[in-house]
Amino acid sequence: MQSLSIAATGMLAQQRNVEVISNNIANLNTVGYKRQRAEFQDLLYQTIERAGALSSATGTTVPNGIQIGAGVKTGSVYRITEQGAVTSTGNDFDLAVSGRGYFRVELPDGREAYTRAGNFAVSSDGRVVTEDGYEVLPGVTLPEDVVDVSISKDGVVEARVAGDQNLREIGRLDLAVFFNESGLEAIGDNLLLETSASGEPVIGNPGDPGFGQLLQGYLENANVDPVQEITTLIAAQRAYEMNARVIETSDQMLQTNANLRR
Amino acid sequence: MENAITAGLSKQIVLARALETTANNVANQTTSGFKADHIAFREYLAAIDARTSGDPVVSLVVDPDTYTDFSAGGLEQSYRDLDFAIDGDGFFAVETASGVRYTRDGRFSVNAYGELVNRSGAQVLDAGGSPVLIDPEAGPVLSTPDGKLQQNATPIAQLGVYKFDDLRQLRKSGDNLFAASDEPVAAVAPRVRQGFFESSNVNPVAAMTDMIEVMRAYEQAARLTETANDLERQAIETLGRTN
Repeated sequence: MQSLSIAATGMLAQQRNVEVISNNIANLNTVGYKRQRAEFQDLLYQTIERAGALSSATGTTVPNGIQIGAGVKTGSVYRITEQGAVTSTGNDFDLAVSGRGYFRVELPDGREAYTRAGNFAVSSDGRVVTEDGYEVLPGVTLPEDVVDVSISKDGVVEARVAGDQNLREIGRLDLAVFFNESGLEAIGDNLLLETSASGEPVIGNPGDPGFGQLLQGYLENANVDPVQEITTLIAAQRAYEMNARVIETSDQMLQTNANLRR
Repeated sequence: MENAITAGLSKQIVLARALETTANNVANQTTSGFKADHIAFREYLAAIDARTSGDPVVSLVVDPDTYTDFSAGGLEQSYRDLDFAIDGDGFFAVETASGVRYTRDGRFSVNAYGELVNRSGAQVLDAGGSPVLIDPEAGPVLSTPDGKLQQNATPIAQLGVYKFDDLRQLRKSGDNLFAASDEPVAAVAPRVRQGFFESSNVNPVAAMTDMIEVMRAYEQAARLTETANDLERQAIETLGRTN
């Protein structure tokens, strides 16, 4: 009885759905997190009788035919990259991107990663780094005795050292944009990697056409909407239960067969 | 006597297939753009005795048809720029490796070349049948209510919505797609909603009651087989006595 395996694909899909929802809820307070959505597609169809097949000697044809589906699969788990809300933190090295673009980060192995989480810090040698101590590219080093740092909307970093009245430019942060942001591969720690699906990064200054602006002293919140997640969760649970009922029904029908000869 | 068993068996075969169809509907109740399938039963009269044409006959049941319910699913709001739902009739067209396919699942994205694609990476076609190109630097894509895509107030494409005279010729080919044997016509003023996608049109409550009905009918058919079998055994026992 094929309905057993069809219902099993349904339960599997809903399980995946719940996994994605729970990851979204778990990251409700993760800076720069983008929510994900499990998207489903129907599986192959088995054609038992073709539409248009002859149904009699006089040339009448079957109008519809019989197609039996094989269930459902998870087509993709899609990252929804809409802007998250920003919260004021007052910290000089907290940056939020308003609009498109990712900060570039150098991983310890030399590769380049991308992130929306702008909760940066300063390393012992004065470089601007991420929470994990990875350098933010193209690399900004603060002078010694720095008393004040200002980062403009278009990424220019200025610093004032003790005994100086004026801010002086010490570097400029840039942003990377992609044709297909959702094609980036998440590697954890709020970091994303380029893939062939995302396309090559286009690097530019914040505020340029097509690039977002920087907000100093703000962080971008996760774009997860808890109410939406909970309603999806309830729907997923119900769908799981119904698929289980199909398995139960198939089982009872098989049992009916087994009890035929007593 | 075998006729009763054959009739019961024909019913059981059809019911098992009906459950498979229902199972597929239930499994796809959260699949965007999915259209529920149903099975049509038909009586098939077979002559009991091949030598006497006409009466008497035994009534069997066959299932010549599955048909797809093309009624619209609910619209779900997603606030995503590249999620589209068709309000009314029609299908989006996508170019797959095996030809143009049609879909009601309008959750699109942009690939590495700037083309509008569906989740399987197939290019979405405009009203003229060519791919839709999006300039990533020209800002967000906005759609007018009739599916004209714009960036920075500049029109870039008319999203293709295609209509068929006869929906029955559409075949499901998996991945939320339909294959068509007829040529469709591009709708003149389609109604396209941006930021929404169409949910599955499976009615879970109806699916559950269908399932209960199928199960009961299956048990009945099994009982019929059982009764026929008992009668046959009694006949053999009674008639087989020698004294």
